[in-house]
Amino acid sequence: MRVLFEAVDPRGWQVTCTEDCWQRHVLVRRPWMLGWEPRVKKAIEKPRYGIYRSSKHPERQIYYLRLDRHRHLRVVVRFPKEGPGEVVTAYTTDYLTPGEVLIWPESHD
Amino acid sequence: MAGIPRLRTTRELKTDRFLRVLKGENRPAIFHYDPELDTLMLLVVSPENETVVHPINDMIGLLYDPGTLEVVGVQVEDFESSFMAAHEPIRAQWRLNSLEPAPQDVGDLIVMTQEREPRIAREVVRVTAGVLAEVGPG
Repeated sequence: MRVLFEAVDPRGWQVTCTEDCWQRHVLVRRPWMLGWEPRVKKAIEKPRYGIYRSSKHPERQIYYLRLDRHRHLRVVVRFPKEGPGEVVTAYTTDYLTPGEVLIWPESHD
Repeated sequence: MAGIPRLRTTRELKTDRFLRVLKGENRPAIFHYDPELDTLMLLVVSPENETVVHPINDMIGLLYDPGTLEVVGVQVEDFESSFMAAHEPIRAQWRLNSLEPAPQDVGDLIVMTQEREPRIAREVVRVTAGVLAEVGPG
């Protein structure tokens, strides 16, 4: 399976994004995100507002990158019990999803 | 710590076009379900257009055009596992075992699915409109 990119988050945890996942979970519904891989990588490496955990899916962690005045990029990564995390979806949003819990503090440049 | 700022309020968004799905005046252009993520997405515009998610609760997010602020769709997370379980009219339309008469071939199945998609879409929009009324314009 071809890896589109690899990233390391501020905790030193490794995350991969495969072409298959990017195609099936992101581009199929949001073809306008073609070429957004560098921004997704940046969100993981420097999550502006910290790292959050999904309340319903504890294996999923969420990274936010501020894009501009009205948009954040939300990146969801699934961490299996072993091995690197995998990007499972990404999209633009204007706020966090209710119920998410902050588990790692914010990052600064 | 400042936390994540809210960048848009619900009050800023225009919902008229989206709510016309309820009256059958607007049919979703895209009806997409991702079984791995258990997420349903409805759009009344082409997916080529950028949309921004505006979460209104832990499952439902409005999808709006960032240029016009017009709501053009909805995204429902945990669709089968949580959302549908709480909304019987949607579950009734979603289940294949409620198909009558039973499909005889793939053609029947395609036609039945095409008939059901707008009904499911209307119910999802109806639930979304109810949540919007509950949470208010904040």
